[in-house]
Amino acid sequence: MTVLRIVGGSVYDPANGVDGDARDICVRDGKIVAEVPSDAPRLDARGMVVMAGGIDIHAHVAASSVNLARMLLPEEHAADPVLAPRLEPGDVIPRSGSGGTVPSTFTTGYRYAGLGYTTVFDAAVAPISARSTHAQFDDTPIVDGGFFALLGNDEYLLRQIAAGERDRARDYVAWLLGATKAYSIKIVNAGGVELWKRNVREIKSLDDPVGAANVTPRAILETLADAGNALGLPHPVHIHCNNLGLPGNIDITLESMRAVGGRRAHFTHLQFQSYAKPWASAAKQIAEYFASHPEVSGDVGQVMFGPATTVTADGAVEYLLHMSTGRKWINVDIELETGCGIVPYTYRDTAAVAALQWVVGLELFLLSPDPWRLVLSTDHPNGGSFMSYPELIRLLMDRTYRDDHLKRINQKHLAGSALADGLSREYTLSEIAIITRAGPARLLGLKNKGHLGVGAEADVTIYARSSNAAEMFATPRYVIKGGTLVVEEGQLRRAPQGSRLHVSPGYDRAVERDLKKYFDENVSIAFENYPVEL
Amino acid sequence: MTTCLGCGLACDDIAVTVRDGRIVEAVNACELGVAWFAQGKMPALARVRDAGVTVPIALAEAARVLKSAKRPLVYLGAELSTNAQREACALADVLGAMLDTVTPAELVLAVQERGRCSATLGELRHRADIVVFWGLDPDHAYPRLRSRYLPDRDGLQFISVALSVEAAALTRAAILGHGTTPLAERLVKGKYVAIVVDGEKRADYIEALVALTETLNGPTRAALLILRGGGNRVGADSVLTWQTGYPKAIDFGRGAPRYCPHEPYDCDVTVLIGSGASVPASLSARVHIGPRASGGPAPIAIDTGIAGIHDGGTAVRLDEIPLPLRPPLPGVVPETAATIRALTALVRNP
Repeated sequence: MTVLRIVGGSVYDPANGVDGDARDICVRDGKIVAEVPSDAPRLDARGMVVMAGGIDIHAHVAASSVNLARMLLPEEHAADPVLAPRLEPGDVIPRSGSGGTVPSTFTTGYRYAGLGYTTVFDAAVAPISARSTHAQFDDTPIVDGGFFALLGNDEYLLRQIAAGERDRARDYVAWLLGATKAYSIKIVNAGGVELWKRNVREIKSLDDPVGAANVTPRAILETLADAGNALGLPHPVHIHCNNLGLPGNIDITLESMRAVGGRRAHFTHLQFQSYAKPWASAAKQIAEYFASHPEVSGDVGQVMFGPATTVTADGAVEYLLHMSTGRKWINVDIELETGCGIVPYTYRDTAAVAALQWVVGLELFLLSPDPWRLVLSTDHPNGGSFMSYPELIRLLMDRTYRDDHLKRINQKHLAGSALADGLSREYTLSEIAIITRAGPARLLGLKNKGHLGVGAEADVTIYARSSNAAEMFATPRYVIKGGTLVVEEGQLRRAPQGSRLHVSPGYDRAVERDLKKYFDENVSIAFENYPVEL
Repeated sequence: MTTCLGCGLACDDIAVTVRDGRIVEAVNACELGVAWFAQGKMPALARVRDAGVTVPIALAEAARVLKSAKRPLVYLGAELSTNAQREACALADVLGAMLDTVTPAELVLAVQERGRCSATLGELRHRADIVVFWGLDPDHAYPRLRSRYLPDRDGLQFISVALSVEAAALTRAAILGHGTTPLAERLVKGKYVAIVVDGEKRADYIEALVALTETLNGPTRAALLILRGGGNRVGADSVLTWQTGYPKAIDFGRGAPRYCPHEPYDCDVTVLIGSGASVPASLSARVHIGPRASGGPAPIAIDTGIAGIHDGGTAVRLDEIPLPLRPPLPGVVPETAATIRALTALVRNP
């Protein structure tokens, strides 16, 4: 559909200061435009809520690691078989699949679109496996996709830090992002994955040496945050801190924020990084830091009760999870770059730590001084599936519902927590629009996404109002992707191919000569085979 | 540089020389690689029973047979590009067919039961100090494993054992503190242990070695390297997993994929895609799309290319590293992926 007028919906477009006003939105050739001819097709949205398409800033949907998690979970897939959707007749083949916490690729695309999400970033890709990520995105319909390249334990980068070659490190980052068609830099447990390969599982401070004395988590954070900012990346650097999931990790989390202070940096799934020791919530300290540091952003990584699959480059965490649960475990040490660990997991509201995690996540949302800088995620599928976003939105919008739930969960570690003491905040629809689309778009530097102003991409989601926010957000009535009506009357009707979001920053080509030599001496694939063609 | 799919190592440093439409040299290739690249000359025919026909006519006949089938089976040979595997999975989905591959069920079931600790080849080259070849002579079946990926260096020890599953269990028990075995004593002294097994020939070892490797993590670090045969077998495992949720043995008969690794095929029409070389002899294909199909027994046959020789795209190395193929003889036979796509279109829209 090339031309459309969406008539009379309540538009929530916080990037343009529109807060529920009844307006028409005009679409032409995949873009939002000021006007369309009076005979253009009309979509009656009166009484409904209109927002831009959702943007997931942090999920695991299209990577070698994700695919190993899929392979590991036949029992989950068997419990959730998915028939092919009934699409409009055409060249696009509707595909069957399977669900669970790590759905097949086609099902992933259909389900995201069915929730009104139109853009998804895979948050952790081993650069050497980027080809697999692109191929999986090719089979993930509708949504636009991009990924963050794992660099925080990269051997070549660590060598440049050891040699004091910060410029060379920046050139390398630029080359690698362009070669793999990545969108941003990802740091996972800076230096800690390299140490895990040496059977060291804990980082005591940001100044622990990783091999050479001057190579430390702090130096890695600084080098990559500098590189991402100097290269002018739309989303400079995406950071998963050290000691994820461990009590007392609030100290290293805040220290990491201070280490990159003054630079734009995004700290991800902060819920997993905000614990005091002994177990207690430290969400308030994050909120205080955010209030006084406008350059910092984050996403929450909310835990939702029920099944999850933990999948991360942070292999040491998964070792601990496997040892504590006895559940099946995948570990992959990926040459010279990173790691990968996978353990299926269930968050039970009767378990003390899971209950605390649930509370910490909600506190991060509810104490947040600025929804534009602390946005929604469950670290899908780590804290729970993206399919639980509507339920999470209800928890944020409906205090009575939230407080009822709070009473039923394990209270052991909740004494003195802000939520247990009573947080009355309820997110408004405008704030929900910020944490699910406008905010992520701004943090990702996506100027034409996340809003409904003239020139924006025509990614639009239209919800029927409901007093139950979970129902409202689970089943949008209409979803438009790039001007194509993909969901109609709540049914998936079209599944166009999404596009790929990636960067190609400039760099001094001299780094390539050095890299060629490094590849010949160290890497098991040819230098010429590393870059990906799209 | 071209990637060799002569075995699962997928060496990507082969310099292939083509003269007069033939591969005359493959520098850096081992004997398996030389044999692999000797498959350059290929017929490019299509056949319906005894009659030579055009590809469109053969495809139309294949579509007719498949549409009237009650329980079709799509079976994938080893030598397919990732793209061809994606197309084949789509065909099976559209047909509501069974879909299977040459990957041993025992291998994937063992991993699905308890996971696996593994590493990429470059990580082992960089880090392993003890490498255990468990019931395999690597120089014979995987000639460049040692020379290219695990070259000798100071402090690197190789151990070859021809031990049983029971011995693996006792070694694991010893690492857990129950009894002792000489092997267990050596392994826990390593900084990074690699256990290497042939996943094609000794799929029965996998579960015990997955468990042993898992247990070594803690006392030390360890990875299990599961060697795979020629072609793009791990690619098939990967593609089928991302498209359906399962790596093999998928039944689309009820509209959504169902995993049935323990069930025998109950099929009336088989479509073989890829080479018949690695396929069970009991499989009698009615339709064959693949290299030298026209010379085989299938009544409907369309010759297509071999991944990495005629067909381009991507293959996946045995450690899940994806590699570009850069085929030396593109375009001399119809491409497999495009041929399957055309068949799927005919099945959907006559």
